Amino acid sequence: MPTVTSNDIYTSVQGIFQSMLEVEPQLASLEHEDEVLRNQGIAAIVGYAGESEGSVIFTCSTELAARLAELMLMEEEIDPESADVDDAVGEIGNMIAGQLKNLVCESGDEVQLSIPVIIREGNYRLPVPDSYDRWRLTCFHVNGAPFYVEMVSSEPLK
Amino acid sequence: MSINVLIVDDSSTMRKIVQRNLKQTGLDIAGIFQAGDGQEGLAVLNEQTVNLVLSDWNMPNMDGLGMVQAIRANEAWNHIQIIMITTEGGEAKVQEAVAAGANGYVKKPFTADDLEAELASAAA
Repeated sequence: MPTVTSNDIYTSVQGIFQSMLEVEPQLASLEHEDEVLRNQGIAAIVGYAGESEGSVIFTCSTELAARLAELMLMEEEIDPESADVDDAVGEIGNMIAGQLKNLVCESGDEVQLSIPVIIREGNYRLPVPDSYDRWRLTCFHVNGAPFYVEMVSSEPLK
Repeated sequence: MSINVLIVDDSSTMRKIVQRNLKQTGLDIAGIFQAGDGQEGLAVLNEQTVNLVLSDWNMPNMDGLGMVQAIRANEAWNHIQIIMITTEGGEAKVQEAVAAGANGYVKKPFTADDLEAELASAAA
């Protein structure tokens, strides 16, 4: 049974944000989860398959996505609707998924990642886990702007 | 000696980050070329003299490992140093890349210091 805790997700996200964006994400309480993000935000979905199967989803507002892209690229005033934002969010999702996939099997090598898929305005459905032990949702914020990292697994997560 | 560098990654964001970090390493760089996948990378190598390739692993069309194998299958490119920069962080993956002919391996996320250290190690 793969072991992925919310703390694992926090540690992975914190490391990526600190080294690649030079910002410190903070954990947010679950009540911060807001359907607006799912309906109007942007999501990077990275599937994984092999010894384990599932998906990792990074979701945030388009405004925060643009800010994260600006930090990654060290550029100013990137248009939230631009392809640069999609690409940056995809790379963030890819790095988070890469870190988490190393936790879902012992070697970390028998699981392959998909290319990130970017969805805007929430028009997506994910395989619905049949129990909460196959789903992890960790909520964060950067300077008050929320973002979520979800992991949906085909098998229970310890 | 000035060198030419090829950065291969399907993410334009990551290509820019790698290029920025590369410029912080102190290497004497004459030119930097970019490609979005392994096939495009090989096309650049056919047209340009390149000394160093920095490549992602997971890419569409031809992945980084396939490109490394293609480079090492061509004697004319045996001088090229290849560093993988990828989320594929398992030890077996590192060994697979090295067996295919990669000279070094940097795991994402990474810093300019990580890249500089790996470049120094590969050159030693």
